[in-house]
Amino acid sequence: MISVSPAWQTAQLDHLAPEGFVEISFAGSTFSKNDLLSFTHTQAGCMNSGELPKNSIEFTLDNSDDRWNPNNPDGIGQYLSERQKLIVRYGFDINGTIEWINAGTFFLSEWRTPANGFEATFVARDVLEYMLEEPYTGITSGTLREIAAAALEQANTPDGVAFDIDPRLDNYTISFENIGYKIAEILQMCANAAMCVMYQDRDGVFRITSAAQVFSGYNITPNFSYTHPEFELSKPLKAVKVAYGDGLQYTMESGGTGETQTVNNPMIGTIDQASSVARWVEGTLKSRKNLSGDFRADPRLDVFDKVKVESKYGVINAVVITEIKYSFAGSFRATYKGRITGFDPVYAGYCGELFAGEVT
Amino acid sequence: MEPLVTVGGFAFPEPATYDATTSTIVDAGRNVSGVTVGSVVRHDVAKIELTWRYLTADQWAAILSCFTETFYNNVKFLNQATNAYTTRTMYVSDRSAGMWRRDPDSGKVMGWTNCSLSLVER
Repeated sequence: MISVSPAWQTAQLDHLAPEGFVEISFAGSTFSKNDLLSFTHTQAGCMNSGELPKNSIEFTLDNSDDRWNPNNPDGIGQYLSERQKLIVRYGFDINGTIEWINAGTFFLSEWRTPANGFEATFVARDVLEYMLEEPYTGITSGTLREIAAAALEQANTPDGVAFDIDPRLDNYTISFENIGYKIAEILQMCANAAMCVMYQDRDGVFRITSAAQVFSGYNITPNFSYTHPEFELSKPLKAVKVAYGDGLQYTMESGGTGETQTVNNPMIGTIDQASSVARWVEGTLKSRKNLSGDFRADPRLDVFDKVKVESKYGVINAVVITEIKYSFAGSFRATYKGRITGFDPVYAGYCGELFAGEVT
Repeated sequence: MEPLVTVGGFAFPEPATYDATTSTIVDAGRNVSGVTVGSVVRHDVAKIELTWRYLTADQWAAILSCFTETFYNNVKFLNQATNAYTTRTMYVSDRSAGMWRRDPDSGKVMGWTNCSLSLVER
């Protein structure tokens, strides 16, 4: 979670939050709340890297003057291009001065400028935009860190995009058959096999890192919640089966009944690694409680942050955010989903399906 | 004397009434305890409501002509929030008036009564 001033934090405790701001810089211009007709920012992630993370924004701008129409010779729409870089920041009026925080770096993925409409809609997402479609052609043996680095190098991301790969990826050496995996899939499998999560942070750094969590200090209280948190109980976990090596499988029994989670990840090569992954996956799925809610947002909460949520019946101390969606229509609101991590604070999260995993 | 309201450089006649509203726009909702919580969207949004007891037909037409071509106008007005003249971009409400009488010879409208309009900050 991004840090802010004490004055910011104090202001957020008031029943009337100060005026909020969103600023988007791209296409050589900066667009403020005066230009925005709508704005949403969604972050989603899986604590055991069973699904690709997503950090994306969607917003609409006034197009009543047709400036975004690509066919308008005097417009600026003709200068739009895919993967154009967008810098977004959030602010609050703190005692007469706007305090800004980074919201993220994004890359334009699509835009819609209906000829008969008055709005132009833009969608942008994190640096995975560069990695979703292109097949990986790099090395097929080496440490997970070397493979991940080769994938990132092939992605040919723009200047200024930084990467941070956890040293624990050096601990595992693997040789695998590349059956046409996409670059993003390679990174996802490396993260999963090293028991890491991956995401792009607000400074634009793409990280593959440990899922170890510490309490972020963020508290979702009833004072600022528009609804009580909704709880949902997933099915109990019966066992975790992890494929490894050449057609081998490691099975970890977890409970008498329930679902069996299967992990098929070609980056898992040994039984030791498979058992570690099985324990890790079990940790993420053992706690069955998920919750969701909506609240007046202080937009510094990120996916994978560990927060407190106050329910009708007390404080839940360890909720890992697995999805957070901010909307801005002059002020910030958010919906969130999280996983209660009562089982083991290190292993947290939720994922329904791992790669080609089968739930039986 | 400074005119109370000037629209696009045209000074309006002195109105009979001048009502000013200053709004704070708030995105508000009720929390789970039923208490209002909200966030400020925008401070000090101005609205002025003007009425004239009587205006000649030419005066009223001159006022209305300010809004014939442009919906948004630069309006200079006395801002109650600062007690000073401020220029803001504003749009106009419905304009209404009642006909006073027509010239029995020419048939021309001689004037309008209870003329009113509002200007709201964009």
